[in-house]
Amino acid sequence: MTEDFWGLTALVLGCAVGSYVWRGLGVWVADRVDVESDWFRWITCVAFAMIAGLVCRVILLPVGELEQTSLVRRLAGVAVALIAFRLARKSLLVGVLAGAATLPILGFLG
Amino acid sequence: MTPREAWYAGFREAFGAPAWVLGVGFIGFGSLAQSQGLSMLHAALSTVTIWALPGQLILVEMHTLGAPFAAILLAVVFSSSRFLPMAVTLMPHLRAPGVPTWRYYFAGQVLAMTSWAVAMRHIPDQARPVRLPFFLGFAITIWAVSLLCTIAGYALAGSLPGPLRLAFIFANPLYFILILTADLRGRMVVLALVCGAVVGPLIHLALPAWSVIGGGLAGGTAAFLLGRKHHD
Repeated sequence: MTEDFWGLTALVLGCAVGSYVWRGLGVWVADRVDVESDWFRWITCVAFAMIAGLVCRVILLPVGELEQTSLVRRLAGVAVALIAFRLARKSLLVGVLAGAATLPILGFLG
Repeated sequence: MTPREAWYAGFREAFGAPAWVLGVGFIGFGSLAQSQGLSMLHAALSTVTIWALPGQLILVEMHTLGAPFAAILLAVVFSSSRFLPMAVTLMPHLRAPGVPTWRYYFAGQVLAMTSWAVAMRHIPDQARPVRLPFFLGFAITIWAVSLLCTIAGYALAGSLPGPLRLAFIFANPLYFILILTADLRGRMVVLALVCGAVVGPLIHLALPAWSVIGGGLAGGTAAFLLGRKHHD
């Protein structure tokens, strides 16, 4: 076992403990919050806005491999996913498969 | 529905699509970890313990770049801050009488963006006693599938064709778009989604590191204020 092995193990576990601090703190706070309060309504808005922002960012301004695809194609994929999802009576699998297949298919078509 | 049936319902829900969508994301992570010279053990350990794909990607990429321990730790832990509002909003829905507290702290560990979105969609319609079993059945299933997919991706690394990898990566945001817009609950949620979708990418242009939590705080606060103004 090299030094790097244990160093990396400590790093992974450290990151896990640090991530759990947020998770555990959330559970702790949830135990002490009134769900009818404005404060709870606000944090619910924050949670939904956060996820929507992240997802939208990945479509509009991707990093990594998706960066090589054009915005028009990514938006076409989103449209195909939404339409297929509705046509297939809200089947997530059909929606995701149809939308995800759109990128490579458009790629093959040139 | 009995609690036992709720566990099974969660398991079935996971295999409807979420396990596959998240699974292909972790296949991607496993193959990235292999190509960056991590051991399979570390890749698998990170999925089990950190259990947050964005943070795990940061870890692998920064480790490859030779970033110092403290810098990687800070970046990963910072990216996990989204779990705080997620846990605060979800746990009150899962609460039921007579359930020992530690189960909620365990639920916090298996919580992921996928299980949060699925739970916020389905759980308000369920009876209290079956909510936690449903959530755990779902969350533990996708946790286990993601672990298997990390290992599979590690083993398959290099043999996945480019177009397929692209579809795998693209599946994840599509899944969230569908699940978040499938059954919109209430005006406040719609406002929050719209504000977040606008503000998140804008903040990313200026301060990429702050886009997730900053976009959530700014977009969520805007939605909250707008919603209240209309309410009065």
